[in-house]
Amino acid sequence: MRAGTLSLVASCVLLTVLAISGNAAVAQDDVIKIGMTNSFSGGLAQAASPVWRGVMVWQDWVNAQGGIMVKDRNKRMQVRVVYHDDETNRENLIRLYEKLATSDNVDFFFAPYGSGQTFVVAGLGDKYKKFMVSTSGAAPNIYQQGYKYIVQGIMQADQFGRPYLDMLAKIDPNNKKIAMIYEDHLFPKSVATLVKDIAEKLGFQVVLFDRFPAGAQDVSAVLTRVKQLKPDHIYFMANIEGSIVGLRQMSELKVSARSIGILDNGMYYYKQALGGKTLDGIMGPVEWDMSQRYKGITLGPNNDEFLALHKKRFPGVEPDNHTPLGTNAGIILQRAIELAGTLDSVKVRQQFCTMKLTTLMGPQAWDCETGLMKYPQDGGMPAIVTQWREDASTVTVWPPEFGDLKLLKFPVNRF
Amino acid sequence: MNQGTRPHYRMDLLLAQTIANGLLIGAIYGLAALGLTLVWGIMDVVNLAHGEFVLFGAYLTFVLFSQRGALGGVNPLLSLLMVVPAGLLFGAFLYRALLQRVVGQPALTTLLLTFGLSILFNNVLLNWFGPDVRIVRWAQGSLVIGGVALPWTRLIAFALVIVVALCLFVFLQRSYAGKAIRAVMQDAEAAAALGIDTQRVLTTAFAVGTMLAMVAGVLVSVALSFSPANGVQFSVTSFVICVVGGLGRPLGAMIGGIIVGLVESFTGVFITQAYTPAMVSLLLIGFLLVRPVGLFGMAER
Repeated sequence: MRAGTLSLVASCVLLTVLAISGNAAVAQDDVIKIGMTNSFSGGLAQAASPVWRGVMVWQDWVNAQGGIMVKDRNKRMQVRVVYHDDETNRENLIRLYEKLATSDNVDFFFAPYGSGQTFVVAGLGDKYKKFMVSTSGAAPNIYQQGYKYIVQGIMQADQFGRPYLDMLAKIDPNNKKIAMIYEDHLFPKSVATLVKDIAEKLGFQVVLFDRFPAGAQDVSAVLTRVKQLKPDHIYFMANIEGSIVGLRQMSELKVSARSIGILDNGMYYYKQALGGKTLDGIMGPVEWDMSQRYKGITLGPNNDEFLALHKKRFPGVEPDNHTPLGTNAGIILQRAIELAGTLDSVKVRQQFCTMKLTTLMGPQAWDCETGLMKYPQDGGMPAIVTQWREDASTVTVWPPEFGDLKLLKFPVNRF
Repeated sequence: MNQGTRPHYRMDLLLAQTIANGLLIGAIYGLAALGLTLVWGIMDVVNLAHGEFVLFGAYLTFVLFSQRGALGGVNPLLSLLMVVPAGLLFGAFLYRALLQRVVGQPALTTLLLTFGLSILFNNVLLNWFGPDVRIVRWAQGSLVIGGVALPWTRLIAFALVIVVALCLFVFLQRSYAGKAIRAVMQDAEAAAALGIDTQRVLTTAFAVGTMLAMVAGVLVSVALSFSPANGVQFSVTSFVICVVGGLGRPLGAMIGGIIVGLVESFTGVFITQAYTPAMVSLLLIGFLLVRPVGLFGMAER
């Protein structure tokens, strides 16, 4: 009797498992799988995780819309993002993207966070013939290696760093001594190298162009030199951690100037670590700001919808300026798939030769040959300049079409 | 590398600020290395989890300082009242539970154990606090003397380092436990033959070493920014300082810390800050080649 009952239970379990497996197999066919890694740990974890959250927000949004319409399958397909922790480790990146391609069988890739990490995996799209959207790889040399399966989902590094200089040239034409300090890491290094030329063309006198090691906890030495040179402006180009260290030590060492610019200005982490009093008046370029609302959005959530989706998916976590990069990467992939009408990576990539759209990150268009984001004047994604207020809020002050110079506090003369 | 256009410096101010920067950061480095040198000297164990111990002290201070409610807003100096006993107990527990099983084993065994602990502790911190950079915003501002800015947090940390170093000196020279540690450090077998309970001494030494690392963490929390990713940096810097100062030499650790701080500061100001890791590595290589026992080490060790 007991043996009979056991057999019955076992059979039921077996049948259930088989039934679930069968459903899963059917479901798999209806799902577009996109693979990525995120730095949940390691040196870039702080900056990277918001981008991954942005991807998750897009996944929720697109699935809530019924998925992506794929013409050659004649149906809308749900999206599933498959991800692994790369631990900010380059060896892991290669291994994990190989796994995504061969074992997880993803259809497309999102690149990992940042220029340095994107550089490492940029060739894997070509190797596995899977289209890759770079979420946050701003350095143009990533796309100038001849790879055919990758496009840039963010503005180019020089266009990211440039607006702060354009603004200074406009508002303070008679004070042009600038000190440029950068962290020796691919993204800030790319920005610094490119904007130094721009600064000189704009008539700035670069009194110091120096760097400090990636991940340094103490930058007092280079700031000691800056202080001695008494520049009119300081452009401190670093990853978030480096900028926090730099601003804190500028405050401690009384390094002052008419303006102090940092990259990714407005990030939530600055507020968390330094507080509004230290940040008051600090300015600089950023990809997106809470207060920035682009008109004529073609596809994807607007700012309010994005904030609501983020709150629902990650309650208690504030989105920051990097988060929409992940959402944006999803939107542009979605648009390209819909236009191509297929999951064929070659045809999806071809759409970027003609595709134009506006998302919550602004207007976007691409160079057909390289996949680079075009410059803003050619329809590409713009960077904006924001400035901190003592209450730890930010205002958008530049460029004129998106910001308001009347809101700018200048000269700042911190600290 | 400086590629700017005709920089003009006031050399006296530049030198004074460079020396001040180096001394103040070097003292913190020195305190962070004290615990490592003590443990390395007495047990011949290179504790690769040392940097995480520093971070434990920093995060404990951060939690006490930033927490709201009755236990919130604790002055970082007062948090020492909790960090010191917590460090001693944690160190003693770790030694009894794990470390004593590998003392005297081949170096690879101890390295593997402490490396494993480092990964474990790092992930514990990552899970509890996330990867965010933290700062204890306390005693902000600077004392400016003749144009040289001395951050209050670093000045306070410097004073505290002197107090802790003096306390350690008195402990090692005057107390029975301290004398026993020195005896075991010089010759463990002879110390055991004379009736010293070496297991107890080693427990005490590891507890004191852990406590010193966590006290250094208190200073790190107010004077620097920190995140779980910084554990390795503290371990590596402390390792270099131990080599420079000599194993098991508290005075060596302090002097070594200040030397590393000054090397970093002078390199950063007069060459470029980008080369500071290279210069510190050269310092390490130089000592290993010319004086492998360090400044205060004994040749027989």
